[in-house]
Amino acid sequence: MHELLALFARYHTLVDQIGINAILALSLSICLRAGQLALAQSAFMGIGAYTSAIAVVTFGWPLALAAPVAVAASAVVGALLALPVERLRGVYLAIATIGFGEIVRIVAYNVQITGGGDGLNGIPPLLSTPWIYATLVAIGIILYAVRNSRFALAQAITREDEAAAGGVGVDTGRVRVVTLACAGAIAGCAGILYAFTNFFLTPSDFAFGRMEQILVYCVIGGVTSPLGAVLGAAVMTILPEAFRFLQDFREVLSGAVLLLVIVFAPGGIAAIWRGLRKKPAAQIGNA
Amino acid sequence: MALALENVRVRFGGVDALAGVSLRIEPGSVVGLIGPNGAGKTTLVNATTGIVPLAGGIINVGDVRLDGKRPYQIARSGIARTYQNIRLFGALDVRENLRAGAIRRSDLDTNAMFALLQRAGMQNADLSATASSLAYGDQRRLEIARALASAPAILMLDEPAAGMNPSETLALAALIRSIAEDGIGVLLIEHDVGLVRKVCDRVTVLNFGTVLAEGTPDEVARDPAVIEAYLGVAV
Repeated sequence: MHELLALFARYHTLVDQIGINAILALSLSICLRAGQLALAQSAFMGIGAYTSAIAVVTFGWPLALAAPVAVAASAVVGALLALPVERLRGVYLAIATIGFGEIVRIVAYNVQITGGGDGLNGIPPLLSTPWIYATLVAIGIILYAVRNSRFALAQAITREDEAAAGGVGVDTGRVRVVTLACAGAIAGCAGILYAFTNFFLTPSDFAFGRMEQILVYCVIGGVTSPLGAVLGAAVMTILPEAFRFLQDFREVLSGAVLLLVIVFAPGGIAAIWRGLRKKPAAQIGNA
Repeated sequence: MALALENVRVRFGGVDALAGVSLRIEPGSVVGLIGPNGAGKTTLVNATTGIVPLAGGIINVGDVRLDGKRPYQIARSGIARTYQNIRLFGALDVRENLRAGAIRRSDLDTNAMFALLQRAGMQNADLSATASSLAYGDQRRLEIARALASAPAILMLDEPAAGMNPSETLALAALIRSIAEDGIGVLLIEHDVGLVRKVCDRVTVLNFGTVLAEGTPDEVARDPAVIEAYLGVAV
């Protein structure tokens, strides 16, 4: 037990990163499940992080109030983002949502309340590893519970064929709005956890580089599999740390793993698992 | 509920794809829609189901106006369809495709799914089979079963016999008649004139986006204008 605690003390930052990254991967995974290549998770995360941190640090709110408000803010922004990009698909949607992420980051750089480029300091350490994993488990349980729901089916058929989905009575526009709202809420949770376990926020914490990593987690894990996304996040968070001795070249290793997965197992870890169970993998569809 | 199209017009650029088409499908009847390639048959189905916008005209199902509504709203009004090029949810399994058809209703149980599949002619169906892995004929049948899963008032079938052999076409004819006997109005787009004559109560012939002829299958088959459109005239 003592050894285990010592190990955790040494690696708790990595353990926290894995949990937060897994939550972010789940956020993107539900977008991909609906065929929406919407790459705004880092922005949603930033909105959740800044909203909760500003509410607590600047306005003195209790975290119990600030956290649900921050989640709601991220969800509302996600839903609102779905409206102007309603007619965009695939790479066009990706570019538009990356652009939105950049707007959020640049606004955070240029307004006083976020601390601008100097960052927001003095965030109290109100959350810790158990909170991160309790949140991850709670989100996982909710996603598991609704996996056979009509909404999950509506997402899947929207991904497969949007016109045919409309033909069976599914309002695909509404599916997109709800999907992005859920993605916003989940990434907002990750932002809150990040803010109150890192004590300090800067706009660069939510830059495109993070979004790129989240996409890699989902590609490695399997684009429409929540469990795959979590495993992808775990593998790709641990890998650079495990190969730290390679110094700058460890990023090359991550790239090589990504290439290998794309070439030899395009459905990611989830497809390998399904292959072992002889069940065909779902495709990303028109994302 | 009857489906009524009045003076429906669709324009693609400067071309009148439908130039004032009127059509009525009564509950329990089968209406055939035939015509040469490019006559506007699929465009009429697409216009009715909201895929393409109308340039004019009125579409009603029962007392409900459909023109100007979005495809999902039209589907919820009781209009189901199949597609000329099969549009199943390919990566999903047979069960999920049927659930998708019934997504606006209470969930189908396994018995109801098997009943739908058997009715559509898939006797030994595997609910867990991926839709895209099915044989072509079974994909067509699954698409019909998916449409029936929505319990529609009107079913529009766009060339359902394409690629089917004579015995499969015969079974399809029996299926279409049984669907109509359940009180569903059926619109059948089909090039197989034998099938049309066998199952349709009325036939409408389109040519260049206008109604060339309308009547019983026998009346239409004797119409000189129809014969000319299909076979041309002697020179």
